[in-house]
Amino acid sequence: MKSAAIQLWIMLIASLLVGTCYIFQGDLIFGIIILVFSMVFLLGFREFGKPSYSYRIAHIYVGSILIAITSGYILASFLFSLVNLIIGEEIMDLKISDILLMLLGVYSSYNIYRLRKNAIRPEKKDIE
Amino acid sequence: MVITVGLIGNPNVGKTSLFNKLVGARQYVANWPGVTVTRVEGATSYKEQTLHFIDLPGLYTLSATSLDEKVTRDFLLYSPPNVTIVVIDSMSPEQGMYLLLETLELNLNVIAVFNAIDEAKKNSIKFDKSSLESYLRVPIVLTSAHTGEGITELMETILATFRKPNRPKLLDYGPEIESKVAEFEQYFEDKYNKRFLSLKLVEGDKFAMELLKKDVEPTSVLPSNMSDLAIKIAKRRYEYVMNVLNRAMSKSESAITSMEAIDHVFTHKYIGIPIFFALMYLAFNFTFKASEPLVGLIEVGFQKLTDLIGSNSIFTSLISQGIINGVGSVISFIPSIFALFFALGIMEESGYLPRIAFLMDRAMYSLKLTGRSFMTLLLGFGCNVSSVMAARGLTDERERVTTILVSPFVSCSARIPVYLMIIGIAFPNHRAEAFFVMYLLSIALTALSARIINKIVMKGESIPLVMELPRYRFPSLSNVATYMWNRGKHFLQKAGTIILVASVIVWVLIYFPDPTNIENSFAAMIGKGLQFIFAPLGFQWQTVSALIFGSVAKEIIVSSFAQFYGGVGNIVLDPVTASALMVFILGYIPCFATLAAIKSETNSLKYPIISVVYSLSISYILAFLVSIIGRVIV
Amino acid sequence: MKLSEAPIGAQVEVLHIEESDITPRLRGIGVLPGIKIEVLKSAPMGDPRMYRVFNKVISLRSSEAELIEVQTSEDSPLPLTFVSPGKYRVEHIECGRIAWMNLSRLGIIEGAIVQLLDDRRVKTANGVYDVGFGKLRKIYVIPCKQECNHEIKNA
Ligand SMILES: Nc1nc2c(ncn2[C@@H]2O[C@H](COP(=O)(O)OP(=O)(O)OP(=O)(O)O)[C@@H](O)[C@H]2O)c(=O)[nH]1
Ligand SMILES: [Mg+2]
Repeated sequence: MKSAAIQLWIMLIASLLVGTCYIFQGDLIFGIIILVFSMVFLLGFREFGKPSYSYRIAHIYVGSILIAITSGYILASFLFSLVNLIIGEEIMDLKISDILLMLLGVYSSYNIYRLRKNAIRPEKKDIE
Repeated sequence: MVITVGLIGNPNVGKTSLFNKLVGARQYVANWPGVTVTRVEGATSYKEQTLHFIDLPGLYTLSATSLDEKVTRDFLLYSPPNVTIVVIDSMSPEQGMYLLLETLELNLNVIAVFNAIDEAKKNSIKFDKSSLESYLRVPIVLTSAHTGEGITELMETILATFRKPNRPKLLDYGPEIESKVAEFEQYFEDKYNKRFLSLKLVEGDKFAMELLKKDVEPTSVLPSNMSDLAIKIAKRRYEYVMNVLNRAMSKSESAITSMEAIDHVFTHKYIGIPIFFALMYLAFNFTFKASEPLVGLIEVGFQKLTDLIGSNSIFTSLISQGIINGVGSVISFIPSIFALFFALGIMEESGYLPRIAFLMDRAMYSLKLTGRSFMTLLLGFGCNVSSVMAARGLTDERERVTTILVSPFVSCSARIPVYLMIIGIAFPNHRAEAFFVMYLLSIALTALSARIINKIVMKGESIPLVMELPRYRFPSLSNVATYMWNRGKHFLQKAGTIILVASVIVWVLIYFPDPTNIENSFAAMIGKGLQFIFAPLGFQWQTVSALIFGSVAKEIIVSSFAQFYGGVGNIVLDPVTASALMVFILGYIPCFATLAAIKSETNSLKYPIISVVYSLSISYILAFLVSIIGRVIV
Repeated sequence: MKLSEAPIGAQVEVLHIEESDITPRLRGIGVLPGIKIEVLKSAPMGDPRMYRVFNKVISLRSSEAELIEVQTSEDSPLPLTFVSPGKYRVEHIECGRIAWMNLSRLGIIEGAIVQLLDDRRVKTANGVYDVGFGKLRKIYVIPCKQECNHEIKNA
C-alpha cells in the first residue's frame, strides 16, 4: 500500500487543481470551498510521529469524505436538472471543473472504501 | 387491562428509537442528546394486553436541573408507571447503570435494557446476561432499535414483570449514610417515597429540600459535610457498577476507529470551523440548486392548470386564482424545503451537530451563550418552533429565554418560498448568492439580537456547559428519509389548512367588491390605508397587504403576491425594494405557531409581546437602512 | 493540578471536585474522585475541551474544569515540561518534520530512553543537551520501569 504521505500529496494536489479550476471559471465561492477541503490534506502533513497510528490516515479519510460529499452534490444537482428536459428548459451544462471534481469524487469514494476496510477497523492496526 | 410502561435513560441512548419500534410510531429521533423534551405517549397491544408506553426526556441523574430532566423526574415521582424500562447504552454502560441504581431506589418495577447491541457487537463488546441479572436483580434485555433484535423479548419481559413484580435489592451505602437516610425519613410526608427523598436530601438535591415537611428548616437538619456524603453515595454506586461490569462485560482494546478519525478532523483546531461553514454553504446551496428544476416543473404545471380553468365566473376564479394559484405558488417550493430537511437530517443523524456546538462554544462566550444554544438555534433553520422547544435542554434559565427570544430570527424553512420568489424576480442572475446572503444576514441578526437582549432584557454572567458528544453514526438513507418526511409533512399539512384558508380569504378580499379592477378591492384598501407606514421603505400596497396576511405564516406572503399579480411571473420589484423587503421579512414578526410556542415555553405573555415589538422595530430599522444604502449605491 | 491544566493526551485521576451547580450532573456522568479521565482535545482557542469519562466523550469549559482537581496517572504520557527529573521513555513527539529531525539528531526519538537532569537538561544516548522549553513541551514521555534501568550509554 502507498504510504500515507503519498496519498496526501495526491489528494492535495488534485483538490487544489479542481479548486483553482472552479475559481478560474468564475465560481468563486465553490472554488474556495474545495480549497478549504484541500486544507484538510495539507494539515495532514502536520501530524508527525504520533504513536500507534498515524493521524494522517484520518486526514485522508475525512478529506476524501468531504470531497465525495461535494462531488455527490454536483452529481445530484445535475441529475435533478434532468427534470428540466420535461419542461423544455436546458439542463445544467457540466464544465471541465465539474467533471474533474466528479472524477476526484470517484477516487475519494474508492479511498474511503479502502480505508474503511483496511485501516480504520477496530480489529486491525497500522497500515502503511 | 392497561399496562403503563415508562422509558427512561441517559440522553441519546435510543429511548425514542425503541419507543418507535415498540409502538410503531415515527417520533423525532436524532443523534444528539436532548432531542426529546416532553413526555410522548403511544399504545400498542401485545397478547391481548394494552401496553401504554411513555417516552421521556433523557437524564444522567434524577437530581434534575434542566426543564426536560424535571419532566422525567416528576413523572417517575408523581405518576409511577407499572413497569419502568431503564435504557442503557451498550457502548458506554457505566453511566446508564448509575441511573439504573438510582432508579431502583424509587421502588419501581424495573427492566434494564442494553440498547444499541448491534454497535457493541461490531466493537466486540460482549455482555453476560445471566450474571448481569444475578448482580442487578432485575430482568435484562439486550436490544437494538436498528435491527429489531430483542424487541419481542422485551415485550415478553414487560408482561412477565408486570405479572410478577420484582422488588430489587437496594444498594447498601454503609452505616454513615444509611443512618442519615433513616434519620431524614421522618421529615417527609408519608405519601412520598421516603427513602428515595432522604437519599436525595443527603445528596443535597434542591427538589428534595422543597418537599420537606413545612415545619422543617433545611439548614437546621442538613449535615455540614454534605458534599462529601454526596460523593460517597455516587462513588458507592460507581464502584458497584464497575464491579458488575468487570465480571459481566468483556471488551477488546481498539486502535483508531473511524469515529476518532472523523472527529479528529471535524473538530480540528484550525480547519474545523472552515469545514463547518463550507458544509453549511453546501447544504443551503443544495436546498436551492438541487430543487430548482423540480420547483420549475411544479410551477409550470400549476400555471397550465390555472390557464385551463380560466377565471371568468366567480366559481372558476375561486378555484383557479384563490386555490390553485394561491396554494400552488407555495406548494411548488416544497422540493426546496424537502431538500433542506434532507441536508439537516444528515447533520442531525450523523452526530455532527453537537460537534458544531463544541467548535462554536468559544465564539458564543461574547454573547453570554453556550455552544449548546448555537446548536439549538441551528435547528431553527428547519422550523423555529423546534428550536424554541429544544431550548428546554438548556440548563440556565437566562440562556434558555434568550435562545427562545432570538429563535425567530433564524431563517426557517417557511421563509424559503418567500426568498426564492423575491430573488427569482429581482436577482435572476445571482440567485444562489442572494439566497446565501439571506442566511448570513439571518445569523448576523440572531447574534445581534442575542447581544441586545442580553444587554437589555436579561443580564447575566456566562454559564457552564457540560455536553455529551455522541459517537458518529452513519446516517442511513431510511432514517434521513423518515426525518425528511416527518418534518416536510408538516409543511404539506399547512398548505392544506392554514394556507388554503388564508388564500381563500385573500381571494375574497381581492374579488370583492369589484372583481374587474383589483385597485378597488378590499385588499387594496387595506394595503393603501397602511402604506404610509412603509412609504420610507418604498413598498407598494400589494407588498403591504401581503406582509399583513403573512404575519400568520410566512408562506402566505407568496400566496398573496401570486394572487395580487395573477401569478408569480407577473410580479415586478426593483432590486433595492426587493432587498429591503427580504430584510424586513427575515425578522418582521414570528409566525403564530412560534408565538404560541414562545408563550407556552416561557409561561408568560410578556415574552411574546417583547418578541413582536422587538422584531417589528429591528426589521423596520434594518430594512430602512438597506433601502437608503441601496438608493445611494444604485 | 486542575483538570483544565492537564495536558492533552494525558490520563488523569480525579482527586476532588469543588461544589457547584453542575456537580450533580458531573457525578451522574462519572466525574468522581478516583475515576480516570482522558483529555482528548481542545476546541479552537483552547476552550472548551473534550474529555473521555468511561466511554462517554463530554465537553467542558475551562471554567468548569477548573473546579476539578486531578493528578496524572502513572502510565499516561506527559510532556517533559510536566515531569520531575528522572528517566523516561519517549512515547511520541508532537511537532513538525523539521523539529522532529532536529530532535532525532539529538537522540530524542520515539521509543528512546532519556533522562531529565536536575538542571532541566536532557541526557540521551548521544549526549547531554539543553533543549528549549518550546521543544521540551512537545516531547511526551512515560516514566521508565525496570526494563530500561540500565545506564544510558554514551555514544
Ligand atoms: N446502531 C444503533 N443506533 C441506535 C440504536 N438506537 C438508537 N440509535 C441511534 O441513536 C441516536 C439517538 O436515538 P434517540 O432514539 O433519539 O435517543 P433518545 O434516547 O430518545 O435521545 P434523547 O431524546 O435525546 O434523550 C439516533 O441517531 C438513533 O438512530 C440502536 O439500537 N443501534
Ligand atoms: Mg428521545
